Amino acid sequence: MLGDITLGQFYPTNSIIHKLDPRVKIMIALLIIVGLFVADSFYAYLLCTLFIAIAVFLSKVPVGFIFKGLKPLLFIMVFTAVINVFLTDGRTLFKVWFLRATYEGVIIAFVMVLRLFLLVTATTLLTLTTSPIMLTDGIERLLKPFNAIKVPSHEIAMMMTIALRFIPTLLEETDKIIKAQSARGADFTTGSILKRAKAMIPILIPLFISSFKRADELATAMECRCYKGGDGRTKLKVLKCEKRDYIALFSIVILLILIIFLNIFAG
Amino acid sequence: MSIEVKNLTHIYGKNGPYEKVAVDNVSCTFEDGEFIGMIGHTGSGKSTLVQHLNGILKPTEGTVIYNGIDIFDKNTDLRKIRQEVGMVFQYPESQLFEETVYKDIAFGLNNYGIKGDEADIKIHNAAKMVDLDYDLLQKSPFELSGGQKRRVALAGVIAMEPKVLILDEPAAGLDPAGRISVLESIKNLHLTRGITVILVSHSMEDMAKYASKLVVMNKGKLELTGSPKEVFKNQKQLFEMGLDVPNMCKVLAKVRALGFDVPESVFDVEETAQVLCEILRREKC
Amino acid sequence: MIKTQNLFYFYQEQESDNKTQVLKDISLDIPKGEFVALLGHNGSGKSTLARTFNAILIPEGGKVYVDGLDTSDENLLYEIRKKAGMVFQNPDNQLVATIVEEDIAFGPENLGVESKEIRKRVDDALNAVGMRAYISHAPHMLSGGQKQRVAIAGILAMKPECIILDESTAMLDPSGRKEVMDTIKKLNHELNMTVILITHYMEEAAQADRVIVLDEGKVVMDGKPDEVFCQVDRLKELRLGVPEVTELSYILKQKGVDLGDGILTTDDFMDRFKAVIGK
Repeated sequence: MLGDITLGQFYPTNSIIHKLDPRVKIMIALLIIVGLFVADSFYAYLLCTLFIAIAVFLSKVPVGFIFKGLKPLLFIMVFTAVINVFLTDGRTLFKVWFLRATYEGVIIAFVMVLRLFLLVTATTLLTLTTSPIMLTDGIERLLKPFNAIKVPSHEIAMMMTIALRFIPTLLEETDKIIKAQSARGADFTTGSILKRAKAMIPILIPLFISSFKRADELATAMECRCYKGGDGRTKLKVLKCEKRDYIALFSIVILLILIIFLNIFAG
Repeated sequence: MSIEVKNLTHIYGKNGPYEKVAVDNVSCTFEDGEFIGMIGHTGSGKSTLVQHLNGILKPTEGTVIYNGIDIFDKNTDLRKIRQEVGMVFQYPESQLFEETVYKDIAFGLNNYGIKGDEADIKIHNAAKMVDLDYDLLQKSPFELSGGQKRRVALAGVIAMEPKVLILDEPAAGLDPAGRISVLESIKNLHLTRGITVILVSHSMEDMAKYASKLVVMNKGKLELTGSPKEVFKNQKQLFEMGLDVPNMCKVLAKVRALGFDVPESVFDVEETAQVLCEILRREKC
Repeated sequence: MIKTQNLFYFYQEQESDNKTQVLKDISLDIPKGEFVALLGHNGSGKSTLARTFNAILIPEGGKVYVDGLDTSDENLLYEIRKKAGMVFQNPDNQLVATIVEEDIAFGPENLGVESKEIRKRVDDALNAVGMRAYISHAPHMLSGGQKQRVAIAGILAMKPECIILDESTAMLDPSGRKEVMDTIKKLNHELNMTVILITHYMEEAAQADRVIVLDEGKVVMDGKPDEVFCQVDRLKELRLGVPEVTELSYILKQKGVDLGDGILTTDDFMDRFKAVIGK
């Protein structure tokens, strides 16, 4: 019932993309987002598309699997496209009722959808090729320099880990509670919005209560295993940058330089 | 009047990376008034199967006929079926949510428009059925002990007066006294109201004690059905499925292997002692 | 290994000043390497008692010593928890990480153990509980018995001397229970680990070296399994049971067939039965 969520799901293969240092992957993902917003020419977009396409190819993750994660965003993409096609000023392409589609609108719509598409593909690829634990590890290390300005990097990472650990458990639990209340004749699908919102109470309250109970038990279990915050903690796996990580970083920097170069000279 | 499972197949995550056939073309019939015990290793598909009996899960293929009505037919009102086929899930106390025990037990009844005095009588009857003190009814369910919460959750389903009651491991995690209390309530319900009970359990001793018919699932398929006596005869087959037989069956099988004449039946501790005494008496003569 | 002296513990009732006595004057001595089963019906105080053993709860009267360390001394807290690890009832609510090996590493990471040493401890712990093949699995994909074995491994990686299982088999199916029992018996035999097992299953308690029964916060029975389980009527009074074969031999004895005391397993029973019948 609630099991079809791809975003944030790790797809294990033994590819070079999987083996990259998570810090490097997060940085690349951030930089490509920057690149996409800076890009202002046809060739710049082509380069970005190419860069992401190569990354997808190297990751050995089936293309269909990535597209499955894009499905929920289909509506937003179509919506963006329609808005842009009809609400941009310019030469008239065709008319529907009082709405006027323009040539400029079509081009902007295309660019917007492509940008959105590449953005989501890039971030999906990051989560598909990086195990949650590596991801949080990477975030923790990247945030560490900010400890000085009171950013609790360890606590943020710990919370993320626990959230990731308990998402499947809580989904299962939600599923079970919905089933149990349906078996007692609860009806979640008919009636007014208010009635439906009220129908959620028998699901939400048990879910909250069990979550608090879980949190309490987990806290005790963590204490039993000598957890006392981030100070003095060591790690099973120490992150270390290798040759491939430097190559990856180098290529994203080149890409960014090219995009800026194209903006100045081809734009 | 009966529940008839027809060529039922259920596949989780069909066509996905984690596709799993949980129930594989199962057909069986549960007659009115039976006390059915369903056993099987974890992952054998027994929980999945029973969740089809009141339409909580939709089959991938096949269907369930309840008293002649195809419950997965488009025109069938599933909520009406669920009123007659009650279901108690594993650790049902996690479904409690109301301010008082009374209101929580009333939840199911209210959903079917049963209110006021009529509901009041049913709530009190249900509380009595599961041995719940009336003065607990006005307490918050979250203040109760684990065993009491379990009984409140049970009462919430029993109050709806279902004609069929499905229970998935109703005694799991309780202490010995709590186990007995819950199982005896179910037995009394079966005897006094004559309802059909379908009990999923891992405890072979409980099965031997309460069930009139056993259904054994293995790897999504129906492996054995019959009276406890018939099913527990197949010790070797059950062991191979990762299941057990009641302790007393083991003892009697070993005595039988020594060459003594032991009747083929399922006995509790008391009866086993009787059988062994007779053997000893005969031998001593 | 664990020693309690005149231990008292109270529970503050909500909405009133009443204090309920949960543990009353408990003095116990559990030597190193012993496998102890702690029995008692719900509310008898057995979980509370177990929680004083690794300083989750501090006694309000009397003392608890773990390997000579006083649990009321705050400076010794982590030293004590390292020595006495605890596994809980719900396997889902004690695993922290999203991958098995990372979860097992959690304890040693907290203790500041070096990476190389953590790696070794994780591998050793996984081998000890027979979960090596699941090293990179996600915990939520494992069965209940497997999750509990991972939880045990997580404790082992801290190199404890004592492991406390608080109803850790209660939510498991029979094969999961057997997995956990086999694992802790192995730890007890091979590593001479002190084991304290809280359980509702009499068949499990029968496998221990010693059985302690609590009722109303007091120790009411304490002895070898055969000494405790032969008191069938007394145990029933305490709302507990006995293993079925033990009950069988008890009934036979009443009927005039004495197979002797201390029958705890089917094999025991058959041996005595054969002896009596002359086969």
